Amino acid sequence: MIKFKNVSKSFGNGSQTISVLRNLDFHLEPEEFVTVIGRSGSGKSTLLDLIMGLVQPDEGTIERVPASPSIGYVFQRPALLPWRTVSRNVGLPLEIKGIPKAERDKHALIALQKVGMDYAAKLYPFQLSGGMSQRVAIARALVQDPDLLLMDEPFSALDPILRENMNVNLLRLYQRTRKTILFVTHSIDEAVILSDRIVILEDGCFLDEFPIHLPRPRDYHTFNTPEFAHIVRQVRSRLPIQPNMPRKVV
Amino acid sequence: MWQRFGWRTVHAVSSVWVLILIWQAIIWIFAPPVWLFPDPTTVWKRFLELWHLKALQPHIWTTGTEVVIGYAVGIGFGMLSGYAISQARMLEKLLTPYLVAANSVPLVAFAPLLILWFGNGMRTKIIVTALIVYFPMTVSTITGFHQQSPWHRRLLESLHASKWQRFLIIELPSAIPGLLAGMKIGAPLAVVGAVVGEFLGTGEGLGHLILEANGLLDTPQLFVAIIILALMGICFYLATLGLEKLLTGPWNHRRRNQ
Amino acid sequence: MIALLCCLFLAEPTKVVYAAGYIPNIQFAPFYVADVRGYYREEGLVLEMDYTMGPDVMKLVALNKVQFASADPDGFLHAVVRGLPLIHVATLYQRYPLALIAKEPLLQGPTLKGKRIGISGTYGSSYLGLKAMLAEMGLALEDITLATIGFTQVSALQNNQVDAVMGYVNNEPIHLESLGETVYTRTLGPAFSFPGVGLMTSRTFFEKNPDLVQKFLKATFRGMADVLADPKGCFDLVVKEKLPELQNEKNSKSAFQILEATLPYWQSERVSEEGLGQCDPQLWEQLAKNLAGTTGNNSYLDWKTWVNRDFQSNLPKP
Repeated sequence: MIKFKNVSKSFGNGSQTISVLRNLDFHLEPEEFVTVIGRSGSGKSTLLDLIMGLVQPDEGTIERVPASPSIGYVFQRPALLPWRTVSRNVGLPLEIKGIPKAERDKHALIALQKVGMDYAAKLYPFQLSGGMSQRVAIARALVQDPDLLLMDEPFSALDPILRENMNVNLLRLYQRTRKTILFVTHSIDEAVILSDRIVILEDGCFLDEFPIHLPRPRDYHTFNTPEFAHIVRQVRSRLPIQPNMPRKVV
Repeated sequence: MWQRFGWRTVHAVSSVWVLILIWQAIIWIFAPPVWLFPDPTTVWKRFLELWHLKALQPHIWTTGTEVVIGYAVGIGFGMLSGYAISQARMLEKLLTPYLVAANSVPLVAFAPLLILWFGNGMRTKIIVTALIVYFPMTVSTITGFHQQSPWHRRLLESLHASKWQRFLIIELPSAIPGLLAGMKIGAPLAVVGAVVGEFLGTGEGLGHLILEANGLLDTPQLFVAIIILALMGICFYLATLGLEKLLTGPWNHRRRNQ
Repeated sequence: MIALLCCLFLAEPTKVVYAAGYIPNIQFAPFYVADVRGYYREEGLVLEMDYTMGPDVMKLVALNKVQFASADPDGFLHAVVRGLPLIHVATLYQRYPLALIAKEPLLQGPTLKGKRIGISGTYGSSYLGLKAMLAEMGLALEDITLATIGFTQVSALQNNQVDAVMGYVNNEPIHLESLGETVYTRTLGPAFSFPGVGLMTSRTFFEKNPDLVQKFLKATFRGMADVLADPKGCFDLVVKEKLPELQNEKNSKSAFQILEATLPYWQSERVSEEGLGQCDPQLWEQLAKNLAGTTGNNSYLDWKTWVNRDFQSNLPKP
């Protein structure tokens, strides 16, 4: 569980300070699937960095329960290390924590099973397709059985059909594991099909918030329901359409 | 695996025989005098002669030692200084033009100076060899350590990895292609360096054998020495190729951009 | 009309290329003087100098890329024994100016024992000279420490990297003295002497153009006679016309010293009696015996097959 209270963050020095996030209130409940929709420049990356503890807020507080949650992070590229097998790639977070090899391999296999890629354990990344690599990246994020899963546009580099496929796989994974997931995307369809709640981030502030009342479990068929189309229309109407303004200089 | 290796050897061996045949054909067509361009048989006979007299072995050993030690020293220092420079942008901007310049100056110009300073012994030959290998190695190392993918860096950052972990897990492996490139370039250069040092007069090594053959108009001996040198260079280069295969073979076969 | 054209055609001078085997140097004064004073032109020749270094010049002659060349006589014998079709036609240096050089007076048998001696390589004239000199002193190679130092004789001796070096009387000692060092030299006695540098040509050229060879030699030794008669005048002439880099005072001084040290080697008893052009055949015999002994190849003893001693300069004896 994460709670942001009145968080602000700026970057820069002296005369050239740029305000990235301003007076942000945000909460994330356990087992929730929340999606942040934001254009480039809206402050999404900084938000994630703050959650991960890589940067500290200038103002405001961030409450975390547990205090140092383990976080699995997936981003646009799989970023698999090409000189390591899939299994050693997945075990990387544990390796950094200093966990011995035998245990790592065991957990890696379990994580790969969760994404249906256990057969690839001894393969090298060059032998995988784009979608397969991204699934391995998700397995890597899951290997520590994290408290929170952060996913930063993980499917944006994939083609639309594969993307839909990955969405459904993620839904099924969520159904099975009930992880707390914070998902970032540009795609309204993706946001609606996946989340319990959508938050729109614009220019450093949360513009709007939408609970998504689509029943779970969701699957391919959900894409075709009239409820889905209706919610998508609603969300789209609330999105800002004017072009990006340069960030406000403080 | 043996299948592929077997074919490669057959290929190599047969191309050597083809070269020898071409050599013999040139002799038959142009009939040059022995003191100008000897035929394969004469050279082979001279080789056997010198081998039995034990006239070759000590020189091969000398040049070989110079090459190996000089190479190791040059590569080692190249890697260390290349890494250090790659980590400091200011330093890199400052030093790169000098490195490139040093790389372009032919060593033949420097070698007499080095002999003046360090004397005529094996130490100087090793220094000459190390220098000729050092500069391209440093440049390759710097390039190698810049190959790191920013995505990998982000990944390790998010996992809260220590600086040392970052070095071992992504920096070094990412740099290996660059390091290997430098090592491959250095292999034949090391042989050149050792011989250039010997050409300035030591009385030992294959370079000396070449000078002696030249002075005594013993062209078969000249050919023997040159061929041995060429083989030395080839073997050394193949060794670096083998290292490359070992380190990058399994995963580099068809690299995809991640 | 046709006669005129024929005369013009016949009057066309023949170019001869001489590969000196070294860089432009005051020691080539006879050639430069003969060129400047038109001696070659008088014989219907035009001289072109080639400055390829070292024993490669012999290959150039054998392949008829140049007409004449100079090389160490021991190198010459090695070449002809290996089958290069060369013929030696005249001698420039009556004796080989080889010298053992040191900064201390230690160039006797007892004092030289155990010392480090620098030679350029274990195959050239310095090696030959050293062995001869040791033989003269009654020492063996094992009694001294050999150091191969390439062409760094002057600096090696100056920096005490060796105790003595083999060099040439008219070269290293002069350089060392100009650097302020005291120099002691020792040369080979008559029983161990060898011929000095001479002139060679290819067999085919010699057989096809015997007159050309005579003319070339004649003009060249005229030049030498001039230098012997008036060293200073010829020196100034050469510096002015051919070696302008010696106009610098320091270079000029040491170059003249080199020339002065060279002159005695162009002269000998034999020259006084019979004129310039050839040396005492005994020296060739000594060289041949020495080489036959060290290589175990008796072909060297047939040196007369390759050394033609017919040419003799008919100039007034210097």
